[in-house]
Amino acid sequence: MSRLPWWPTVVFFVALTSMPLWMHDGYILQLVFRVVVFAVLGIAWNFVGGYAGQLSLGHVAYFGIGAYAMTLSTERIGWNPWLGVVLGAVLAAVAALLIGSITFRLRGPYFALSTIATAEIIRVLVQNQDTLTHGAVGTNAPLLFQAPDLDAKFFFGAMPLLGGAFALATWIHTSRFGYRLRAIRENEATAMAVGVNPAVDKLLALIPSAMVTALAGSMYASYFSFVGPDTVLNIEISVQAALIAMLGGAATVWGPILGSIVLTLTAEIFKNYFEHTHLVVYGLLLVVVVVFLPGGVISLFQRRWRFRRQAGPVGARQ
Amino acid sequence: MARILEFEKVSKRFGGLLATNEVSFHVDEGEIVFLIGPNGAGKTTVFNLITGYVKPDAGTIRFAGQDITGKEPYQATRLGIGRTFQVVQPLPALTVRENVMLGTFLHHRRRADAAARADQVLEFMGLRARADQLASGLPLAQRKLLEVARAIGTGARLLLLDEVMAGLNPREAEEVVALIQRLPEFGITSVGGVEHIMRIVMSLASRVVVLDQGRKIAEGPPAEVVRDSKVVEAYLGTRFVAGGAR
Amino acid sequence: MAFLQAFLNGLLVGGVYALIASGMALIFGVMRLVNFAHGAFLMLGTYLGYYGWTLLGLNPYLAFPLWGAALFALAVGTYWLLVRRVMGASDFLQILLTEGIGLVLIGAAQLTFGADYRQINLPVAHRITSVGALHFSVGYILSFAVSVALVLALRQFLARTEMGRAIRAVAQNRTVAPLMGIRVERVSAITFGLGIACAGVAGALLLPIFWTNPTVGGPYTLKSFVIVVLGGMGSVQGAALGGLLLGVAEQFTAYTWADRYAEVVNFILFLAVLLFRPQGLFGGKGA
Repeated sequence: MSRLPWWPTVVFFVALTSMPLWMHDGYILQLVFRVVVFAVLGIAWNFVGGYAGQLSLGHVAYFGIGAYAMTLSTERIGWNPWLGVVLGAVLAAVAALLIGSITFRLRGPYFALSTIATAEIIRVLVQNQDTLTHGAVGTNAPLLFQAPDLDAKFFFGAMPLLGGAFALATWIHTSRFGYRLRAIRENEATAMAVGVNPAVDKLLALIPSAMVTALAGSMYASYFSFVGPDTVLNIEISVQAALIAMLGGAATVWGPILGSIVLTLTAEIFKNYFEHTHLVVYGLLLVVVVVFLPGGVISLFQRRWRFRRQAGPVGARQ
Repeated sequence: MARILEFEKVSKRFGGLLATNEVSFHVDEGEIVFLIGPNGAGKTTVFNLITGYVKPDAGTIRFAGQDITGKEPYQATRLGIGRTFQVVQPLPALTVRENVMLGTFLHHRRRADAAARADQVLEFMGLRARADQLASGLPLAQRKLLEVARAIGTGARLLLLDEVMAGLNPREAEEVVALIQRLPEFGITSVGGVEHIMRIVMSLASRVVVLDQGRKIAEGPPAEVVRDSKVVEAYLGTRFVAGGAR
Repeated sequence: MAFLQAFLNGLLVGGVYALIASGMALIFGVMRLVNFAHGAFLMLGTYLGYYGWTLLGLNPYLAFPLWGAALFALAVGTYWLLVRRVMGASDFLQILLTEGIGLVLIGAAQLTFGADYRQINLPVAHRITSVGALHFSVGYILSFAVSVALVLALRQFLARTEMGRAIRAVAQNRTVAPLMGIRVERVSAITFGLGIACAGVAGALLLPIFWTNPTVGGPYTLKSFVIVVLGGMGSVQGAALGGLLLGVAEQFTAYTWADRYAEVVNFILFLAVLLFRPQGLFGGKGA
């Protein structure tokens, strides 16, 4: 699929992983950490949204499940937070099965709306269960690593997550499962005519997507030492997941990584000039992507996109 | 001779419309059977019933001896029934080769193998040169060929062609006829077709089944069937039945 | 008696919901577009009402036609500039576009107006009138009255005027409408404008009885979806009834259970209808 030779990937990952060794600016490390976590989120969303073409706007549910599972299991049951992280992934998988079996019965905008509805139900429930979940106020999340050098340690912790997500994405991209997902995206009736069972494959895509998202959620919450409905169950994160993948290039391996870089840096730059700009930035980027660059930034480099620009509107209705 | 498809007393109702009314027919291995009939006769519905896009209200459908009544489309495909659609439905953002690979992946796990097999099919269909083009960029005739190629790729034994000739000019249609006659090279022993173009039906079909308003009204070798008065009446009305007006 | 009070309060609020949802149903019915920016435009309507009152002394209950016209113009402009480009594209892209537009509006509002809550003090709105043991806020009654009047006017417009007929034609069959001499693009632009104007005017009407801030629209977008689904996608009539129904359902939930769970009820209702009765409670399609 990718015409890239293998070594740029290696160079990229080595440079990234070794960053805490040669970059000592805490602010930059934190920024890159956020790029990494959101790249993971984008890669995970991509399984369902990019490859299978199902516009999930409820991925934050899994993000929050990861964050809360880690926090509450540590707090209430006295577990090691890493165990809580695993629990989060497992619970996310269960949630994915439940949510998927409800939402995947619906098509098009109804599906997207139902994913929002399910995520919001979870948010409202968490927000109002003061005793169990600390309600709207939230609580401190446990640290996955011990001081000193927390920035570096979190960084080293996030890298395997990125690496794993990247590997999973690469596998999906070239496997026959990945092709089945693409067929579902392009035309479900045709997909069925070539032996694809859309109901099963959509769930098979959602489950790893949810689990990886939960891991990202746990990592994020722990880094910022906080969970609350506004930070880990907020619909904005769902939109970000979709935006990152679309911005960089949906249904590509590198797309979400590019997207996260562009999005996080752009938001950061604007933030230094004006407060409260992230919504405008997200909104403008979404509009620009949809209208001018539906294949994402990566499409500027792909030959296939030059064919497509000749061939007609992207994702045109059948 | 083995019966590859048995369609027995199948009925389907859509609200007030009885689209399929106790229709029975069969396809033997090695045959090319065409369903013909005036518009609205329910021909495509029969295909949809066989391939599972629509579930029958009554009756049995058997493929190679196995009961497939009410099975899902993906199951029908995996068992060996390939189909094309009246309105061509390619996977537009994928290349021509990738489209066919969706079929060949059914029997080949690795991408390289699926791609190689896909190329063989494309070669046969005359699409090899366009293998790396996006399906959305193909003209209609090539898209129809791609649709057939994809179905072949799934390793089908029975291929159902729904108005594959529609929209093709005579030369293109001749090419498709030639290809259909060579299908056994790819393991497709039997073909079912829905067609309106009589010339094609006459030259290809070993047998013809005529539907009118959901019911089978005639069946037999093409030359016989077109002279059957019931068939003429269905298409043209009573005044044209040979032997004078009723 | 408290039950009756809750029911009637629900109807009053529901009237405004009916207006908002009618706008969304119109847009969906005619353009098959799910407008994720609906609430953001509603929010703009509230700010127009706010500044109209605080800077120009214009009572929103009287000046709403102005705000409606302004939002109509803005919406038509948005259509020509952006929405038009995704009309043939997948739902996926349409949703992302309207979501993006919504975010830009909210973000711009945050930058321009600041994120704090604002309220206006309209003396008439806070007066209470009583009918026996029932007490009603005059503001609610006024908002309800204007909303219902507009919903009815919209119905008449769709039923009696030529443009209304054109709109209904496009809603029923977008492909064939041009054969009747209907300029579908123009109809789409006007429909979008009308639908957004409904949201905006509703915003101006809600201002006196609630408050505003840049993010106030979000819940209304979701509520509109719930209502439109309840009423049968694309049915303006159904949306109106659905609005009343949701208003009542919310009040009952708040009364019997807890205010904060009212939102959950919305969503569960939404999913239940989509899964078990997708044609909506009142069935049927078409504007």
